Amino acid sequence: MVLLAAATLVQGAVAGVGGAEPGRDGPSGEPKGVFSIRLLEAPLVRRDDPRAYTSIVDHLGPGTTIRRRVEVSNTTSRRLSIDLYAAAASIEKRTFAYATGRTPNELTEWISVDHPVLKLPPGSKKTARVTIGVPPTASRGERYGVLWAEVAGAGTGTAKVINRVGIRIYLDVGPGGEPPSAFEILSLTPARSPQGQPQIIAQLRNTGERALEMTGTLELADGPAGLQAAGPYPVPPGTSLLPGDTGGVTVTLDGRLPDGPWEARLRLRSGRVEHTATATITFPAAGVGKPVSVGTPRVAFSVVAAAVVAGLMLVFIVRRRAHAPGKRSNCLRE
Amino acid sequence: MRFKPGRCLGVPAAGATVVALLGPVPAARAVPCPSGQPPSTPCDTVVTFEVSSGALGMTAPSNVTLAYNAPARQASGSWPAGDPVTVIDNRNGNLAWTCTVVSTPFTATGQPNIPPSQASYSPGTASTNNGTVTSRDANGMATPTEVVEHDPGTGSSATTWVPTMTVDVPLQNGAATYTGTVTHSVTGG
Repeated sequence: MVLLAAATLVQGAVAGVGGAEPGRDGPSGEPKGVFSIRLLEAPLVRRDDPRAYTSIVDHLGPGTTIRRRVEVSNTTSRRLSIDLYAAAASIEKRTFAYATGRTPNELTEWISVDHPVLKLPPGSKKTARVTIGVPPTASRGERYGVLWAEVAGAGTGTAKVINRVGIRIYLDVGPGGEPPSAFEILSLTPARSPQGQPQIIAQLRNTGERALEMTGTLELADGPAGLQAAGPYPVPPGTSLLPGDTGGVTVTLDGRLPDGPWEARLRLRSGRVEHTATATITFPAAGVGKPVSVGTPRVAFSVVAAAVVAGLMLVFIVRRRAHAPGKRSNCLRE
Repeated sequence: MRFKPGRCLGVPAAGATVVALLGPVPAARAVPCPSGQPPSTPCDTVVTFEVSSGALGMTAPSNVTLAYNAPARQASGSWPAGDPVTVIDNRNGNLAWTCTVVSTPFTATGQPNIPPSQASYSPGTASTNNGTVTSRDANGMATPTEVVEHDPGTGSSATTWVPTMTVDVPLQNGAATYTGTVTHSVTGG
């Protein structure tokens, strides 16, 4: 029985596999292009939010409808049929997790695309429009999804292959203004990986009301034996924190670094919110060292600076106009 | 008549200040309301600007044949070396992406399904021309499992890997042609 199975599988298993398309690339291994997706617009209020440039990030009131344009392109040498659809996602175990296939959720049921299937010749692109209509009865809260562009495999094979690239969707629903995004860095802990590489584990807490996607860098300074600096080392991506959740990001450093002490400076960012924490750390010979508290993190500098400057300018303008007799007539019309 | 600085000056002055802080505002596009909807509804207030970020793309796949090794009761196969999985990231900024894989059961007429937990995926060594890339195996493909992660460098990147897939065939499964579907999903934030 098993041997028969072997024979069938070795023969290439030509039966029962769909997805073959004419015009596929030859087997010669020439460089192939890609199919891709990109966001073409973002809300003006999020001009300072880097996440909004590549993900659909929004806060909408119930009953609101928005539209976003995306561009899907084909730089391969074969004609592609590209499916465009939204599917469910969630934040689980501090990771932005997307569901398999076309699994729906509440958010995806609010989403429609004007071109669910795009037939793109080689070297072409097309703009599609995504509509998100939040029903008037929608309850408040943040929902997640992914807008996928998907291509099914060509040719025969026992394993049919599907590739898809997506734009993440973070949609918050609720009346009034956007709920705040905020976090605090609680501590930095020096550690050593099982492979012997020094690590710094940062504990942080989402103190806001929206999910966070952590990015950032770690730098070391004032090292031992006159070593000036090391880094920056990137914070590995993929840590998502729900509101109220506490979690850690682990940055792995160069294995040749001496133990310390070092001044560690960790810069963490999610969207518009950024904090920097510093601590004096010494890497343990093995395992996990003691957490080092970092004190109260600073509020995102750009936000504070903008608010202070705006406030000062407002006061200045109001006072100046109040004291300028020539301007007063404009204000007396009412 | 009384001078009311707060009402006649405060609001426009504050608006102008915020705009100045944000720098030049790109061409904004008001989203039209659906017909019949009064202009005072929220959709009328949603204003967007053009995004100049590039695209996230990947190769269009070809299907793969898994060859059966009887002594090992395993079917396995690699992607052709000349046809690796490639992810091109032209998005601006310090952006990462991850690739997960998941498989359906492998099915054949008249045979029990081979569950995706019997399938495993090895991306091998992934290479990139910008930033850093890490790869790890998925032992069991029943749920989406991260196999490749790209940490950003500066600017665009092209990352490739040549995967191998293996399916352990349970004892109760007999001779047949089994087919399944494996999905690569790539997104980043």
